[in-house]
Amino acid sequence: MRIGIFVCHCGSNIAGTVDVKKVAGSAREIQSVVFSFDYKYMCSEPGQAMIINTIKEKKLDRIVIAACSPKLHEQTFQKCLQNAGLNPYMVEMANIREHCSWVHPREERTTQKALDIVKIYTGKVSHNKPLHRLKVPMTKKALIIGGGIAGANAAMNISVAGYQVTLVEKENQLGGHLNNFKHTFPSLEKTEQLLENIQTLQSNPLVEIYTDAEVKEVGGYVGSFRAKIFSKKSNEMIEDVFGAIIVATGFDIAKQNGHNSSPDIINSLEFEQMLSNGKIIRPSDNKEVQNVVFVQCAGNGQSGSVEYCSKICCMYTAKQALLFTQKNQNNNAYIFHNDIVAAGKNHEEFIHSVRQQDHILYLKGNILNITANRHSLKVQGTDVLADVDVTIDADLVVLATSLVAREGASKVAQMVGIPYDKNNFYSELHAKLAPVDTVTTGIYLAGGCQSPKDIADTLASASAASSKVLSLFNHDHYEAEPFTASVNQQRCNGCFDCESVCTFNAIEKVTLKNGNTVARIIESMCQGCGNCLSACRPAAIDLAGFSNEQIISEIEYAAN
Amino acid sequence: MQQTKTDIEKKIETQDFASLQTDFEPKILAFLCKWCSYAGADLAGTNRLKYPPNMRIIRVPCSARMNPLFAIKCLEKNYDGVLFSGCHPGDCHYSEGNYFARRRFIVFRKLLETIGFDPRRLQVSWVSAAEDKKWADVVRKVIEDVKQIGPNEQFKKIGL
Repeated sequence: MRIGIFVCHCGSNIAGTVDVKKVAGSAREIQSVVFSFDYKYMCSEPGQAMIINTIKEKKLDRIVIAACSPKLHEQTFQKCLQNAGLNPYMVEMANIREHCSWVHPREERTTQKALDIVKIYTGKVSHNKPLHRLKVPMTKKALIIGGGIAGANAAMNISVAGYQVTLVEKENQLGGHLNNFKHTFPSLEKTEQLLENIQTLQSNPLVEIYTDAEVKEVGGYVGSFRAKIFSKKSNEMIEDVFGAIIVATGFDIAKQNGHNSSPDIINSLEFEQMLSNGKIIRPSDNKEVQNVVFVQCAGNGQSGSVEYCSKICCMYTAKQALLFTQKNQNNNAYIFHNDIVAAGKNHEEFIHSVRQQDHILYLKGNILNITANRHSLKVQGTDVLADVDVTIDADLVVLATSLVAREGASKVAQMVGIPYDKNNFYSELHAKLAPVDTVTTGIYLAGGCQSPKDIADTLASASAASSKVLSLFNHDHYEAEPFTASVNQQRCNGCFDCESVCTFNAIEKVTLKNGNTVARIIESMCQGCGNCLSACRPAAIDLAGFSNEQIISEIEYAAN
Repeated sequence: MQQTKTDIEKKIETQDFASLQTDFEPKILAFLCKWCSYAGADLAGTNRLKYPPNMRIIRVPCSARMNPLFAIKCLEKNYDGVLFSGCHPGDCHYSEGNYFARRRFIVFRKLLETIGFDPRRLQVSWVSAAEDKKWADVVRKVIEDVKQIGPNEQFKKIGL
């Protein structure tokens, strides 16, 4: 083994507090180190050239760069290695800048610490093995589960880019909830345009649409997901292979309950359908409706409100109140609320203008009681700002109940292999770093199945998911980082504790020729977190790039 | 010289400050997850925060990779303290890794106590990539705690 150590001055960033010549000199004494040098700027052109030449001249087989954090130049130095004919993963970076020269004063202990850090990473690199990125072939066809606006929009984006899409919709038409209403907030723009756009998919040669169909099984991994789709129309099971999947199964609105006392107490979706049909009449006696009481944050009725905000109800209730009062000058709308959420673009302005309307009254307070009389509903509530109780004779009470995950959402998630939260909304990989990714590479989320959203945010998330798919399809292969785990199948005792802790479903059971059932890591699904290693009692699993040998060496090399 | 917590409290009571001071400088090995804690430590450097130089850092992908047995190896090699630091629970880059790690660390600290080590020699922290100040505070606290315990001579005492 021939290790080379390159200690960078980084101008005065490191050399100003660390005695780099001493570090380079002492590093020469570490076992298997045959060359050690300090230089002003390792990442510069001459610096890199020096590294490449030294590797060739001194026949180094691995190197340590003592410099800044690997986040900055690890790739730069990996390229140097490639240019010198070495595997790019035979380099380790010893961070003696962010973790040393920048945080300590110019003194002996700082130089000593820098040397210890160099020792640690020399220990690590002595156990580095050549690694190769795994190349998984990419099937450039996307599966979109759900044909509402999120799924349809994603299908449009991906087909415009020239790739094939299969769109699966449970109902007999595309559009989802968009089919239920005519006007959208905040501009009261009609839904016709959006629905027409969706219909253009029917004549798109790149888009294969299955309505009255459901995805029944999903297996495989990014680049080659295998899915089974059942079509009720043809009573057939269709099987196909996809490079990526977008889950766009949408949400539902909670049924109102706890107020089952009258058929004239309905939820927002039902009122929206009345507005769309143009027929606003009381369900109980078909009489005309003049006075409507709207209730914000009506939650799930029976079990009370949910912890999360459904985001769109304040806006659509204002829209509904406006549309309703515009139909007839005798119409009145009363909106009971505690908070008003109007955080979107032009939303606050919209609410403000609705509040100005003569026939719309916003009441901050709760409903105390609703009594059904023969021809009306007596609604008793409080007006907190005026500090009085109010009683309203209403024809209709409209409850803005919570947006909830669809029934069976958890089963769909389990089938696809993605996690969901306690409300059965689907979990994104990271709220900020990866808001449309899931823990499974190649499966993305779009729309309301992830969390309550309005149309604008839904379309934005569909575009985001599409762009993620397109960046996969832009390549013929998916290149996975080679820091994956692997099982020594002779050592494995078949306990599968590893499988039970693997978040990414990357561990499968295989039966060997001798009859033993042991674990096998699916490389393309493995994210390299190392959790399985800590769970494995016979120490049968190891992790490339962060192996047990490497870590033990790191502990030993700088110890007393 | 090993000082127990009650020793220290007695000395503070009797204002015996001189004997609380020690010129023992502990040597601490820290395992940092590359997504959060390592990045937080990087940020502390970028912002030129200052803290004592007793700690050396080993980079791992996730706190889930931090096998508690590493702590035993560190103590065997006469490090005075070990720090495991990862992403805040709920923010793990690998989704759940730190939940598993948290449970392992809690159990292992109890085990350390049972086999005769001061559990303060094994410390755990959750530091995000944006928490440069917190990192510096964690470093200072760990060094101070381990200083109070005294040097780790457990393995030396039994001839290893």
